[in-house]
Amino acid sequence: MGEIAFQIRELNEKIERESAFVDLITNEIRKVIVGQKHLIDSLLVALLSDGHVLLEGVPGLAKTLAIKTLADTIDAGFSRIQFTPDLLPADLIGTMIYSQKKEEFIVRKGPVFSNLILADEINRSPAKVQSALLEAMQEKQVTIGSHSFELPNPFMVLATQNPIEQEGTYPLPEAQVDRFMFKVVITYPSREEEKLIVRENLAMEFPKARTIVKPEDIQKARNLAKEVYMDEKIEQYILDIVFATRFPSQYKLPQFSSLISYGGSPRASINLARAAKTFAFIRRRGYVIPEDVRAVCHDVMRHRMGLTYEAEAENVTTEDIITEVLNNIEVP
Amino acid sequence: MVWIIRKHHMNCKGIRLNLLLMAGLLSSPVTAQLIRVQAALDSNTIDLGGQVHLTLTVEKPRGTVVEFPVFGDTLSGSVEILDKGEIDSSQNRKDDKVVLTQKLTITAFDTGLLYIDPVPFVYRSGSYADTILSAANYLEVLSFPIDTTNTIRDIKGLYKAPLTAREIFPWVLLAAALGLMVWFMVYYFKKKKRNEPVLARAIPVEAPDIIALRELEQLKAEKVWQQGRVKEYYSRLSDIVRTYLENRYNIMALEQTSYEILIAVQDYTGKDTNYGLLKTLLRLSDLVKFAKAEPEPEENMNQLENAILFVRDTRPQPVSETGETDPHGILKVPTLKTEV
Repeated sequence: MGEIAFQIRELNEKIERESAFVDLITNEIRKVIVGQKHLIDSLLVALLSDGHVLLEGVPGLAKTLAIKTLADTIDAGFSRIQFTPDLLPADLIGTMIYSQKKEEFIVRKGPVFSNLILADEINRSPAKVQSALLEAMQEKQVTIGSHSFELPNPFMVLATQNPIEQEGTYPLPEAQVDRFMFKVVITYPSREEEKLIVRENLAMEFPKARTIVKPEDIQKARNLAKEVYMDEKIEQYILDIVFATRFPSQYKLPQFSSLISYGGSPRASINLARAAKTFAFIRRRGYVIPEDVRAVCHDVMRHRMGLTYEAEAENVTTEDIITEVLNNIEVP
Repeated sequence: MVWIIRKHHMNCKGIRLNLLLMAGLLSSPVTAQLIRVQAALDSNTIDLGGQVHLTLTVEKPRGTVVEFPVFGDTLSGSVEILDKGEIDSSQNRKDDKVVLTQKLTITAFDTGLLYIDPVPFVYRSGSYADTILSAANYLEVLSFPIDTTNTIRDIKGLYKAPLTAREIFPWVLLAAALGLMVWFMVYYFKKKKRNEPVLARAIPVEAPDIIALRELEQLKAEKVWQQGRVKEYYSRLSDIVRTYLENRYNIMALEQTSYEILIAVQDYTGKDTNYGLLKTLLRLSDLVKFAKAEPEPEENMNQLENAILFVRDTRPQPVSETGETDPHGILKVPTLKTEV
């Protein structure tokens, strides 16, 4: 018991020391991006958890700028792929082309071979292109011709969806949406923030982010974030939340039984635990507290639950359900 | 179809008068125009008591006034009027004429051929009036054939009217009252047999601070941390305080994190000494519960004492009879729970 306590104290001190770069990255990004604190935190948590992010928000909310700035701060490669109905998997992962000089087929790698990928409006492309990207996300490698190629490390996909225009789109199936660690919903900046954005644009003064760490350091930080201590009480709390979305009646939420068609999968529990650990890490703590779980819960859970027609008719959203679940589950 | 019959009521007392009247008629805008009236039956034959429509139609040039007759209950003696329809108008654009229609529903209870008088319509133009009659109609009322071969039957008896809710309701009420009386008697004798009080007795619910202080004393007496169960000790300690906060300030402390609890409590206590005590207690509890921290034994005792102090300082102060708060007085709790 005393030994474990000592180890946690040591770990806490180590994390406090080695996670200092997170604050530096955040400050650099904030130089460029006005507001969007939640988006920046989510991007960092996903990057350090080796996860991917699905972003939902109307155009013009600095989604591209945020991920490009993040790439700048970690000295990583960045690709932006605009998904269109006529996009082909080969346009994404690459293809074999015939070289007349060498008289053989050579591999032309696609834009997916980069550290940070912005898949803009992912739901505009048909399922085969979506599948190609989602497979790359899962396997961290792609196959072109008869050769398999590893994707660079770190590799993070930030896919965007526009919540307004739904005509002519190919919505991502639930099984594929589940592969994104987070679904982050971006809202408009506040009045004060927008005033600052307008001033910066009028003055044509666009600060540039400095490089803080190298991609190798990200891998080290990931390994350290995995070591963050999670007590059994927190594990129970995570399971309570996920199970409450599956069996609401057992958690004194019978009103949701008819509103939820399916609850969070085991992947929800895994990602909630991983994200909570990384959130503790970016808060420079060596152990997880319930605040960490609650901080990432909406982003982890909102795309992993299905609602019934009844819920849609009553204008009940997954946000409402998650909030109510958190308000009813006893915190350890 | 009946064509116009015009009756000019003229007094022929002299040539001069005739000439004057002729001049008047010639000056009238309708004299040169045709007014057509009609009274037509749907059928000229009905059974005894059967109904038939008599349709009155006036076709007149636009701008002329033709009045329909005002009918009573009968039409020509034994022909009765059951319903008088509204006068409907339509326009014939071709020859700029207006068609007025009224439908009467008539019946008769006398058999035989009945005569229906011509229907009079009054045409007016200024001081000039004229009556236009429709053609007369004949209505044949047929009798029922009587079967004389059958025997004569007796008059049918009276039918019973169905019961209404108003008639049933007093009886339902009476039955409910009787049922209630029976239930109460059974309940009364059962209680009497078991020697239990018949009526419910209200007892006061314990105040949150009393419950919290008792549980804190119990935790102290159990010597939990002294047995090495530090995590359990802090879990129980924080749960007692959170339950107290939930009942005292009506905040969902058991479903909130330490940070959220502190924000919520701040609205009630401000950032005073008590807030500081609570903050230290919750933060240390979190460290023990989630980071396996092992505070010094002295710290363990201090936290329990701090919890007691927090509860005592934040409980509602009872008001004495003089209106002053009495920190040592016994609090009278307004909420009641029912014990049967």
